[in-house]
Amino acid sequence: MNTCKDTLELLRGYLDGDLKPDERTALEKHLGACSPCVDFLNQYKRTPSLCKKALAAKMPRELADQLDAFLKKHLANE
Amino acid sequence: MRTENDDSQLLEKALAKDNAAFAELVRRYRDPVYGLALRMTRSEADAAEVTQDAFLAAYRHLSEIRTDQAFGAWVHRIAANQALMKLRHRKVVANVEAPLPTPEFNERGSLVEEVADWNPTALEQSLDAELGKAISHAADELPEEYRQVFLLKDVEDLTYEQIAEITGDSVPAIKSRLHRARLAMRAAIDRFYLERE
Repeated sequence: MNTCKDTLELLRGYLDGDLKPDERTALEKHLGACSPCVDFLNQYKRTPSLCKKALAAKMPRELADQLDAFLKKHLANE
Repeated sequence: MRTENDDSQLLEKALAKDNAAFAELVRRYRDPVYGLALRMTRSEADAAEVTQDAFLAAYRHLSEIRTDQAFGAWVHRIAANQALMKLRHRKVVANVEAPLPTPEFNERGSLVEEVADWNPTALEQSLDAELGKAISHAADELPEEYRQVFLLKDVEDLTYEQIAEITGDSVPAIKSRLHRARLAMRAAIDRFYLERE
């Protein structure tokens, strides 16, 4: 039977649907009997959406104005 | 509400040398493009330069965009390329990076670390702001090659093939790095919640 270590190593492939059928079966069997790994999987799944929200940035007004001026100058010469 | 059609109409006008239409496309996408550049380069000045160069390159190569391509995704890929070029240039002075955090197991391979409860609390809003800082810090701490892949896949939603095209790395290498980066980011978020329990 898969250990937690084996299972967590396969999480990306599991979520992407990349695993071979026997790997998937072994992983799901482990998850069925291991609640810490289920919790870990749920956190692993939530990580990208939490990060996407946190890493969104707004361009500072001053830089946005500089970008406008830069493009106006260069586009006029194209 | 903006639709892809709105963008494609602006794109058509921009292709016909309507600079006001192109300026509108810039206005729509400058924040996410700047955000990507900032996370990749970790420098406001470099991010501003990458953003400028990306939109200028987009303007110069507008005729190369396929009709089925979204302008936003296309300009993001240009910006990612520009940011990578800047990073490669900068790599002359390589920094020593700490190893990535990984889960802890016992000798039988069983998970031994404590897992926090990630459910929002009554203090959700202030927690969100603090969590955002913790995530931002953790992303900045990722080794460069891991940060790039994580940002391009999990924040920008590029495909593995698009990332391979941009970075020149193989898809299996990208997938492996993404997993390591996700583990590190998960650990940072978990640490944040554990410290608040």
